Amino acid sequence: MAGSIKDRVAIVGMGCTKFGELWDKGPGDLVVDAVSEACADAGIEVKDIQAVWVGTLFSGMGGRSVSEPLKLQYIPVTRVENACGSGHEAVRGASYAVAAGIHDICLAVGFEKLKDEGMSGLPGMENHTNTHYQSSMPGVFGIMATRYFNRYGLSPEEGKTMLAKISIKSHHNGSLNPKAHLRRELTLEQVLNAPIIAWPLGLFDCCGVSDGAAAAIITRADMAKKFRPDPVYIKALQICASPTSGRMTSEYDYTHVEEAYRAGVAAYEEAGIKDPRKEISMAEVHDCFSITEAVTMEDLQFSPRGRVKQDIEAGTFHLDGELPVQPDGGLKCFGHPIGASGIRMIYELYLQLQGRAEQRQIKDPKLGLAHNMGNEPYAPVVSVCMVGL
Amino acid sequence: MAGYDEDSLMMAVEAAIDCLRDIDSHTVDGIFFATTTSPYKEKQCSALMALPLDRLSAIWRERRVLLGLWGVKCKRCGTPQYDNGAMGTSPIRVCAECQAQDDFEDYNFAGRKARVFSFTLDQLAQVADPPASVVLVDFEGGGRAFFDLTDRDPDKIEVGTEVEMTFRKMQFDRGITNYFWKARPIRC
Ligand SMILES: [Zn+2]
Repeated sequence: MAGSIKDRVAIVGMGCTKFGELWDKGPGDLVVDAVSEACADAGIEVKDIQAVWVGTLFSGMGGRSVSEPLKLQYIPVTRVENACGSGHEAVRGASYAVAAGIHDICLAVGFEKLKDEGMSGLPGMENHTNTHYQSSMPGVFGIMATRYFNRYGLSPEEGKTMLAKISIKSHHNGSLNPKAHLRRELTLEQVLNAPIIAWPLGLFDCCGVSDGAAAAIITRADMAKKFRPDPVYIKALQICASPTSGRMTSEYDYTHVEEAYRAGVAAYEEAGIKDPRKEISMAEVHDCFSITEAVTMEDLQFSPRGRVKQDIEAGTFHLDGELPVQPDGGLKCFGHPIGASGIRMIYELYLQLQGRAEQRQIKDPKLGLAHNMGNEPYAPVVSVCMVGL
Repeated sequence: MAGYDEDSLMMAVEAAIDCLRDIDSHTVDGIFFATTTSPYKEKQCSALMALPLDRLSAIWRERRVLLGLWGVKCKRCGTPQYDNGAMGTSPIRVCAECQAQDDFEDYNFAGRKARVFSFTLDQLAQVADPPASVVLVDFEGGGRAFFDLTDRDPDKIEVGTEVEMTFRKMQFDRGITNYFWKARPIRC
């Protein structure tokens, strides 16, 4: 690696809307709300922002999606799209511009307005002329769960119980979070008896669909303490895009995500991490489905391959566990307004690092990891962003 | 008995494949198709969903694989591969295994046996015969792809189930039927 972003830029303000069915908010409202909170948190005004990177998949086109609602006065605004990594991609663009010395104060914002589509799931993702089979996103990840159970000798009951514990943990955290969409505790019976969406995944193995936005103010590291005494520094920003070979050749085991493993390795190198499980205080990962979170624990080297079940059962990833995961409730409770999710994750890590996470506060965290994964397990773009003190 | 995704055209294709098992199909001079039912009522000549009608250039470009189960075999590393995916090229131009470019021979996956590597029973996908029984199969001799599984009992699908390929109806939309290949469990 030729260079590293580690400690070169800092986040000095963040904002995040409540996520949910926000019938009274349009996409522009979400942007205004998140950015206003971020600016107030940084102690700046919107007019102090010098350049903007915005991530959205469906809900806006071009830089105007931010400059128009905020009436930004003729500054550069760049819209980026990198599937579910779009939020992290916006942070990456803003951070690189600051690190390059081109701008001193940049805004990264992500938003998505999904509920206006009037349907469950994501709007028309069909691509090209593929009419060869029909499967939903839960189906594509159901195939991963089937394979994981088969490979590691888990009966459907054992496998589904393992996955249920992931969702129960996240719902507990979400119940403590006023900005989460879904805020109810779950019982094992509820999860196991829920309707099947795509075997073996049931209703509570799937994340919600929500509206939301989140924003970050990014500055030069050497300026950061002028804005606040407790800035949060970027330690790593990595993206890994898939060659999508796993769908075509038999080498892919469908029980891991190679791109997540590689993005993790690259991020650990950039941040100088030798033992991720010990050195990382907390993680927000892309739990679009319970099986995704399980496999991601192995891909990011938190758990040995095939052994995440032991860690789930030991409570390793609980708020009071050895390595808390989804302290804010995750996609499971926030839903997944695509462009917003990556920055929403960083928002939680930011609050935790500053000791502002209230009932969810983890004891003395130093380093957090956020992970997004867009598209199918054999074909994703994965982003990993690490932030710390 | 014809299944929900079969008509006389499907039966004719199946019979013709059976009949041509040991014959090079290129040596056949003509095909006569007699039927008392009329699959052409469903405009099978269009053989495409209505949606791609907006994209005639894409249909022309991919004419070879619209109804055939044609893949490629890499001349460098010998890996057979089939792509029914989204953002690649059709036909495949870069090898998924060794990344060699534009160095392939044609490879027909129809008539090859395969095994279920994994599957789901998808209640959310919109299909005529739910649950959508989506299988990821590994072909004998190499190659992997997703297919619908038809003629199946959803409760009896397992990792390792042996399947073969069969030509079927896929979707019917705005007066046009789309046909393609599905997997089905091998009948004893
Ligand atoms: Zn090759």
